[in-house]
Amino acid sequence: MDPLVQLSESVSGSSGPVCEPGIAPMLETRELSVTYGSRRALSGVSLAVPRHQILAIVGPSGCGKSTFLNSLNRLTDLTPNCRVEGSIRVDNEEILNADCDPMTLRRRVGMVFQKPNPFPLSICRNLAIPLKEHGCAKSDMDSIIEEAISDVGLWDEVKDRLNAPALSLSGGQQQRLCIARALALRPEVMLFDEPCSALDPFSINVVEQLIASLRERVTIVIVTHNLAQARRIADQAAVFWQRDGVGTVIESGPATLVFGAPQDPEAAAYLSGHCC
Amino acid sequence: MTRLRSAKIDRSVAVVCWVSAAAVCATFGCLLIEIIRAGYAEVSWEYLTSRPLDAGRAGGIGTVLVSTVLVLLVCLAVSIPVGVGAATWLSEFTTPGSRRARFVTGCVNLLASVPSIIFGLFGMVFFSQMLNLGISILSGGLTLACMVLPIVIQTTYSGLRSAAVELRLGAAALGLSRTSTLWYLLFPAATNGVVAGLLLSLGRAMAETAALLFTSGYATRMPESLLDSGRTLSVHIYDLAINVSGAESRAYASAFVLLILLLLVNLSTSMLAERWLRTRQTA
Ligand SMILES: Nc1ncnc2c1ncn2[C@@H]1O[C@H](COP(=O)(O)OP(=O)(O)OP(=O)(O)O)[C@@H](O)[C@H]1O
Ligand SMILES: [Mg+2]
Repeated sequence: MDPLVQLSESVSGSSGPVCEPGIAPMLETRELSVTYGSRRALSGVSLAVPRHQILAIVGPSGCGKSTFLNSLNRLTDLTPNCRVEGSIRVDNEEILNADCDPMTLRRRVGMVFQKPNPFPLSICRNLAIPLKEHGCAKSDMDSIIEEAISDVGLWDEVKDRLNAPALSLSGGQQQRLCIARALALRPEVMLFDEPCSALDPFSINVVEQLIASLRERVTIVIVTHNLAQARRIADQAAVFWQRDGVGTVIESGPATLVFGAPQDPEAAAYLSGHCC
Repeated sequence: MTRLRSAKIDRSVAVVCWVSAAAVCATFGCLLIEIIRAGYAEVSWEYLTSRPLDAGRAGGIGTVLVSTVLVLLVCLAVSIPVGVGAATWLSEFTTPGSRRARFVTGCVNLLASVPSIIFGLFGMVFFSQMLNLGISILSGGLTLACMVLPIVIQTTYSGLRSAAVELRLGAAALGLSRTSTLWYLLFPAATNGVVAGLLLSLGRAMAETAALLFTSGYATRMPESLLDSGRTLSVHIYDLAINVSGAESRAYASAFVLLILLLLVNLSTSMLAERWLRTRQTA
């Protein structure tokens, strides 16, 4: 094993600043830029997230936050004409290389979307299909499904109707099911794209606490429009901004610094709510 | 006073729509009543099981029914796999709007607008003569398959496309392969479209005469293999109505049977699809 990784594992859990010299972060991008056809959406994004920490991404609409997230699990491959350049390392492994298998990568880097998107199948099959796809043995299936659904605090609510359609759940329950579905695959990184935007205030609270608690097991990147939420759960923070029509990072670092004493004047105005 | 006027317009529009709907129902009703009235008396078990005699003036339609079913089976056995495959390729394996996709879509649309008599001529030349299949049930079924292929492709394609983008993204984000995504998510989502296409295709295939006259022929004896000639119900009706004098009531009886068959196919297909979808969702 890479000595750097071993070292970073031994300090995992400690909340140090982003790039402690010599410690390899769980997720790292360097000079990342993304273009759709001839239009550049994102340029020069260099960010790092240490193991078991939460990076919160905030910024106005259209500045490339989702684009950034989608490039981290190569979901951008699905968009024709979308080109990703630069470097993305997950656990010190370059994922933009041609020999990186996107299917395996997406098991390791889970994703939850803004709109809950359970499959129109039973609750149970929502988890079983991805598990089967990634070679989970039939004998382990039931226990993994129960564990994942319990992890999101949904077990007591659905244990009697695992064969009911997932779409019969409430919005908040559906979103937690989607989180469980990703967690069942034992990912190392979880990406959340505005996971609470489509939920009612009560569910927002539940999902937010769930995400905060997941930091013990996975490294998290979350995009949110809710600055208060970002402040509550983030260890690291980044402010995305659109400059000359191209999205970029104008402020990043430990959350306390970014929210407490932002250097960039635009970021400062945005974070204090005086603009947009 | 404009409110009064717009209320008046609303009312007249409503009346026109109601009348149109009623006219449609009335037309269909008249057709149905006429066919039942003129054909029902002739239909019996005997009629359904014996072969036509005296050019169809006597006897029944047993052999005709067998030929019809065989032609339809050949047609579906070829058009469904090819059509669903082509639609899947268009929807999932090529970029919509790309030159390849546009070329194939153009071919499909062109095929859809070709009159059936042309398919008949093509089938005669290609299947019967060039491939040496002769005037046979196989030639007829293959010709029909070519004819309904665009319907199957178009409906399956729109069914697949109607699956929400979120579903595809969600599946991809979980690392599901393209095959699993298709099998577990997209095909079920497309089922209604495919069933609609199937019904349209079956309806068109059952009603077809022009494409079959030169390909599967008129023979009234019991077909012994797919390489035998055999007349379908529609060809039978056409023949009775055009070539055989004094067989009007027989033609009506056959038409009655054809209608019942269409109805049965319709009901059973949608029931099967619904059952399949339900097991999909819960199992
Ligand atoms: N599939 C696409 N094709 C072309 N351009 C795209 C595509 N997706 C996003 N873009 C462009 O890239 C830019 C960034 O979009 P993105 O969705 O990443 O923004 P965002 O920060 O997530 O916005 P929001 O907060 O509204 O979700 C936008 O200008 C958008 O128009
Ligand atoms: Mg977004």
